[in-house]
Amino acid sequence: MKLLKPAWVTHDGKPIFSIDIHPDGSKFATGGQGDDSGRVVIWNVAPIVKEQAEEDDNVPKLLCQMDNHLACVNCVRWSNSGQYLASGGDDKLVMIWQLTRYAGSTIFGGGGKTNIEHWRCVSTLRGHSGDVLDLGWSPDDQYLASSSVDNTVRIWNMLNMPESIAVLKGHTGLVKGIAWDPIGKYVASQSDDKTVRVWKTSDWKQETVVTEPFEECGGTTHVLRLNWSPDGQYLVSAHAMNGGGPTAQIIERDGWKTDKDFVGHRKAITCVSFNSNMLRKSALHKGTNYCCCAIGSRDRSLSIWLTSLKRPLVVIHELFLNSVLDLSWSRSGYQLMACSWDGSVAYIEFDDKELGQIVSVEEKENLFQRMYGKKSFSTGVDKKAAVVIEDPDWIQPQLVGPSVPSVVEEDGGMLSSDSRASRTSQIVAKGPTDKQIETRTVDGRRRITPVFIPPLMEEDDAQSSHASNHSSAALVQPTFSSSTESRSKIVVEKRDEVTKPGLSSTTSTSPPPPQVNARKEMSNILLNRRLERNEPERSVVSVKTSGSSTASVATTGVSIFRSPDTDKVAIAPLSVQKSFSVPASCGRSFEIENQSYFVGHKMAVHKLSCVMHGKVAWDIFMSSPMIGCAASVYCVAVTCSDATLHCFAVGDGSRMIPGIKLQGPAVHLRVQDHFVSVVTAHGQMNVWDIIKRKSTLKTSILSLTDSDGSVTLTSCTIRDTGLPILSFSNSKTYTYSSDMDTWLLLADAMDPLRHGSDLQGISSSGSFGSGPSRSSVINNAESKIICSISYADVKMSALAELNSPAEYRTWLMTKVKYMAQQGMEDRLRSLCEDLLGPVHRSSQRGKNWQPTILTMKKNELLHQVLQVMATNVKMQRLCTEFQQQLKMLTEF
Amino acid sequence: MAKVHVQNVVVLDNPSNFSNPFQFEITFECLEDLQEDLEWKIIYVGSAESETYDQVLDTVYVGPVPEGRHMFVFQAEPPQPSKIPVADAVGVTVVLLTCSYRGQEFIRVGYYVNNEYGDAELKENPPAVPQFDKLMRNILATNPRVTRFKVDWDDTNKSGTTKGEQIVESDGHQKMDASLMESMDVM
Repeated sequence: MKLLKPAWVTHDGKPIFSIDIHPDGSKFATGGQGDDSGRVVIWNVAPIVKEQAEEDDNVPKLLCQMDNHLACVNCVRWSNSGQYLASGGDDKLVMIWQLTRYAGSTIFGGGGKTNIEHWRCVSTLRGHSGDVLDLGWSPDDQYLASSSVDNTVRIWNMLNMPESIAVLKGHTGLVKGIAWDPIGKYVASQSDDKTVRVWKTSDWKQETVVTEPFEECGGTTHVLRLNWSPDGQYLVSAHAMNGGGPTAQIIERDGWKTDKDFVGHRKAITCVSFNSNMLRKSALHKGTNYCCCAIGSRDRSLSIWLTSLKRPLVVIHELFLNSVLDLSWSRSGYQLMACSWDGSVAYIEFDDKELGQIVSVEEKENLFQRMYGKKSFSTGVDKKAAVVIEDPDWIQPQLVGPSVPSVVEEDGGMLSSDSRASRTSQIVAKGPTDKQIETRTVDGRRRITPVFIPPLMEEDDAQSSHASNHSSAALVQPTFSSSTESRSKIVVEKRDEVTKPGLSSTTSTSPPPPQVNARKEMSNILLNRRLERNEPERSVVSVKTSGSSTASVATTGVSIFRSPDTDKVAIAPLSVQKSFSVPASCGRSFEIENQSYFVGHKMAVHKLSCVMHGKVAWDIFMSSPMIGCAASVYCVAVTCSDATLHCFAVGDGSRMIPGIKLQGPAVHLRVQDHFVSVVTAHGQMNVWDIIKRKSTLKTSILSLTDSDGSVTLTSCTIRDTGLPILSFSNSKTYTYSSDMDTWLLLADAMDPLRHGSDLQGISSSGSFGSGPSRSSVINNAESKIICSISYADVKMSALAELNSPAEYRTWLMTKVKYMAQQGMEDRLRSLCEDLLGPVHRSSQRGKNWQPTILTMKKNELLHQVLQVMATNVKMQRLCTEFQQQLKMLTEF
Repeated sequence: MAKVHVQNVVVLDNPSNFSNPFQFEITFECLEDLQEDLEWKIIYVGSAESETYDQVLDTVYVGPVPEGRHMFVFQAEPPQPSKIPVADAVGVTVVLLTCSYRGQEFIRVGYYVNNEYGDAELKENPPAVPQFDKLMRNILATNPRVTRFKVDWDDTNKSGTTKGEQIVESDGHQKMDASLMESMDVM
């Protein structure tokens, strides 16, 4: 056993109330008091584990400090996935943190500490009316439980933050501890009201209340962090009393019996923490598994117990100068950390001889299966136990079922696409990113619109570690320099316009400042100093100027590409403008100035400039006036009034191909990756692959528009295959099939089928025009469903053409859902038969049967289809039939 | 919880002549879109002895402020020498950078400023009447004093003119004094 007290893990000497090791073991969080706020700090584990890393200045110790809580932080807890950190404090709030990839920055006013990682508060859970004392994530990370001084426990839906889904009322005193059952069936809480209560997660009702062992307890501890054993068999409480001595009470899951306890501490027990692993003495001792539990007490000591031993494995006396407040085991099982009121933390490392061998995950799962009849804790089996079910396998689909309809929601996003990802991927500049804009208000004061610093993508996982050889300290340039001799590099654009300040009239008057103290504080110190020195005017300030200014604005690598899609298919070609500008990705824009220089009598050249962050990257002169311009990250294309097309490399402006002669003046130009598409005034559409120098499409689009020009092209997207998807103003969307040599109708937002169906307001992706929603005309429920099915069919065929498996699956499931609802057994059977394929090799159908569709295995699709069908109990015979056949196939 | 967090302030053009404008480059993060502008102020403490010598160098509105990180440079004219007591012209004083939302101040950043003559001769024998044109200003930028105040950020609460409540605890001040002594010893 190794014991270490890292002196650098400190909240400047103030109490550390909570500690938690990240599931990946690379970092840990502490929570407690900051200077004038609550403080959460994330620390690197490597310098604790390895002395070499501790001495290496390139290995960061502090990764991030968050002083956002207004008052003391009582609990920090990582989600089981490690993606989020939850913190709760005396300010009644729970904050959820997530790692983002802003570069490291110095903590302002933090005395030179640098944040290596940037953790951002992604949600604030408000609801408690008193200090939050303890937190717990459910085993599947679906819920967070928080316990508070307001005598309640709140359950938050972490899949839809900040929704509070339950308030568990019953305690009559401060709730000081929370523990989830590892199986996910219960959550337990311990309170100053001398009770431990166990709540059911199925209906959030109280399962039981345990009072007897706590009758003699006084409210003497700051926290009562109880914990559940990893096998779910025992709940171990914090402070209990037995025969006048403090104990940790063992409460058995089976009947909530309270026969056993952990005895020996001299003062109240504040926290209990089980190693999340099950252990055994050696590989030979199969079946004799035991658990390991750490107990911290107000008597400043820590004891470690193995459930196989009657006496503690080890007791560490006087580990701290004050009460132990929290404990955390690493996921690996051999590391334990503790924190104390005295403001220090302790790190203890064990080896397998001391604790034993860790039981593998598979064995643990098997054990769970034996004990609780299910393999993992991911779903609460009990939730819908009331439904009459013929076959136990039916429980799963019934649970999954309700989530399927949510596939088709308003915005048409696929269920598979993580809502978080879609939220963070849409990064839009919310203000000027290259300059600040200054205007004047009516009263003559300046109003500044600040430079917006676009964030980088949030990291999906918090896997980045700071291992001992990690040089992130070197990678992250310290962006902080508090003083510099240089002047500001921010471009200030002064505008000669009068704006109203964004103030509501009621509060624009300044109230008497209550903060005069803060000013007084500094000046008093000044005065005192002067008096002490008796030499007021002679003090010399030595100011170090360090580093360079960081005024340059960070720009992102997010390439949001927009080309002017406003050009229409019309008879008239684009007209020649004197100058125009086209924005492009990566902070670039392209500026066109026709007739910029005259080179002879009535002979002019025309300039194309690439402007990057306000500076001209390159210029090109063209011989003919330019009428259109579009660009991707590779290539910028311009069309000229002499019906030619020219392509240049974005990087340096070099010409990629000789000028292409078009059949007529261009009316629509689009560049996407290395594809350039042009529509001419004659209705001719060409798409070229500029890198391969090949034509991928040459056809007419006149058939897609009206002869009178009332239907216009609204958008054009080029697929990976080099074929376009065109949307028109009549809400129709087409793509071209080169195999079939024709245009295919993909979608029609005005499709009567759609309006007749239940699926209004669904548009599958941005490439489909979505028309106005109209109220349904068909009131007959049956025809409505048939409409819906037909519409789903239309969509599926289009998506098959577009090679979009995920959306195809979504619509397939939608179709199946309606068919199951309507009880269309024959159609479902035929659909399932196709997905199942030939059961016997010899069968006739087998010859033409393809085992996959759009790269998805049909059998796997069938599995999902059966799950959807299972939502209708009427279909269970059919379901069972195919389930059995599917099983046979997989076994075969 | 505060909706706006000041992440960094860089003092630009420092050290500089007394007559040069102040320049602060401010980076802040906003957690939610703000309905109203932020109001930033630079206050020059003319004399530690009395607030009556405080000069508000400039006030600006900053807005609109959507959620995200933002940056701007706040430039203000130097203090008017005529308003500074003769005894306080040379030596250490304070410049304050404050920010308010809905008229409630939520952060105050204080910097110590040292004004002294660049000329060695003048340094040794300072003139009775301060020669402001020869004064150099040096802001002790590495050691800002940051004080945060709890204010009402809630847009739904329309009675929103409750006074800011100072949340600095008394021991916090003691600590500030102690660390300040250290920094003053450097001077």
